[in-house]
Amino acid sequence: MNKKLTLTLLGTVAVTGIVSLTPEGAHAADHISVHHMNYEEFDDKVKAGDNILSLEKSIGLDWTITAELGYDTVSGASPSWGPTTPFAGYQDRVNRAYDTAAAQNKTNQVIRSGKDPYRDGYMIQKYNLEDTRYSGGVNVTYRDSERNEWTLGGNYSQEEDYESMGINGQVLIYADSRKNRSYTIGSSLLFDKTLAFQKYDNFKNVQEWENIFNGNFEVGLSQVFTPNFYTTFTLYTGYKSGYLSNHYLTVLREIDIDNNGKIEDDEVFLGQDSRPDKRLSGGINIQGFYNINSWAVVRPRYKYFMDDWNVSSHQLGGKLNIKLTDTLTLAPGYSWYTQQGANFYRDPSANDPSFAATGYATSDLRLGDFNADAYELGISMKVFDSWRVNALAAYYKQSNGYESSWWVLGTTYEF
Amino acid sequence: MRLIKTCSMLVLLGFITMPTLAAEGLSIDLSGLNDKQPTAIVRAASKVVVSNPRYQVTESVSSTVYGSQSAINGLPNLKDKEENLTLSLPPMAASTSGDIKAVAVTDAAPKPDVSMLAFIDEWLGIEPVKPWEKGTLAKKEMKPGGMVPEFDVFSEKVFAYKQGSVGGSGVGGGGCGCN
Repeated sequence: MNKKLTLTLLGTVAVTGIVSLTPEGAHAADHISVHHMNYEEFDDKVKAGDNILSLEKSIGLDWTITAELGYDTVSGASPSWGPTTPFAGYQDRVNRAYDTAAAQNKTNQVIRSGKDPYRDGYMIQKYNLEDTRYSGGVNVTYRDSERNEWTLGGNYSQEEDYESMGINGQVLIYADSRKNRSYTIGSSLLFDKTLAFQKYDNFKNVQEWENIFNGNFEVGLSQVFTPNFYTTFTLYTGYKSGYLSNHYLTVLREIDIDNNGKIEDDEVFLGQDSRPDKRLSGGINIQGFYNINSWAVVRPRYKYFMDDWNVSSHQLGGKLNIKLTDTLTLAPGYSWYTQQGANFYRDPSANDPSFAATGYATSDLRLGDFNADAYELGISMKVFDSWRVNALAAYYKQSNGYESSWWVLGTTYEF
Repeated sequence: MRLIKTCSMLVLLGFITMPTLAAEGLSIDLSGLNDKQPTAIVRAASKVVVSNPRYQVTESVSSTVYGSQSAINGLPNLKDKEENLTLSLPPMAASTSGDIKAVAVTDAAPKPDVSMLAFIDEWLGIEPVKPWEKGTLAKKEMKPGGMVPEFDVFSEKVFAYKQGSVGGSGVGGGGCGCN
């Protein structure tokens, strides 16, 4: 059945530093770095390895080029609904296939093969997954005579069932020559494709490529308050359209195939995760940067998100930078997150997790209600004048029982 | 360290020249220090222009290396480093007479350089931070990514993977089948 989930871990912010109002990639000098992340979910679920090679190089005084290459692998097992009742024989197999076809004829939603003749026979099961993703991106920044920055970038990624191609641009304008305040406007356009399961036809679900458009727009304000404190404020919005469902996730649908006005025990079917084909979202992101003293810097952050799927969230956290010695720096961090789920989400562990024959439906925990805590501790050690070794360990836990951890190891060479 | 030395020299030169200028009843508009055009000096009701020899373009290299997007908090960038203007000390006597030529108000006056939102500073009581006070802000750990930006990159990936909210972390980046 499901070969895999998607390479979720490997994408969204894959080419960070290309253009960002909160420039994670704002490195202080020409550099080249390579980092590896090992990610592992508890309960033997998904494992992932993520590798990033990044480069920043200034040409003269007015131009800077940044580039990034990524290589990621995902393996393990992904949880999804599936049947557990074994086939009683050839005729049982045929009957289930005909019932599935009848269910498909009564709904415009995608019904997946894999019917269980008993409602209670459906269980959340682990399905093996394995995939590899390659990504690359480059951007160019030009500084004009006022030292305002104009950035243009592009990125591309490819995996077995997903392709992404995008462009982005950003302008940073100073309010005045004091340069204590700047305004930023940024935008990106992504043109993606995903290999999605189609409606049940000829006793199978074939996969075809579906398009996804993703546009993002941000405006930002950066304000210096004191020689030790400044903040950034960012308003962001996004619009997605096309195939936005997760075709590797399933839901349970009740479909009255015998038209008797009742849902019998054998009239529950596997349906495709189904989401609206448009999503409008937005929010605010506020970050502070405060130099406490000569050896400690704190970076608090708050982010609010909302969309027209009724998902909303608050994220509050902060990171410390503690300079233990001239060569050794500690970087502990904590983040708290709370989310209100989508209005078409139903908890798979609820007493009745099934949906109606039509309408949007998801049992994806990521679109549900939960709180989360993330803890991390990083360390960076200068081994030579311009060469650092970096390591990080992190732990993440959601109130719905999900847990994961990851570690990062890498090195940065400045030149 | 060299930035600190440069700033110290600026302060020292300021103290040295201040009495002379004060005696002449002059006030200097420092906002145009980074401009290549002549800097206006107001004496009473008349406007005078100081020719560039009064000021000297010198290379003042900071020990802090400023990279792309350091500009987000108004920090000096590479070109700023190269074109820091410092007051040339001698000849002091000439600086208040020979080099200063009274002229009529002309189009050569610097353009207004006040932010439209400057009133916010007044409301909030924000004192403008001078360029030479931004050494701390220029530290790498004061940047959004901190000492090791890759740490944040990976954390953001995990959050994007496991949480339903999207966006707000910059407009760059490729897509994936995250949903």
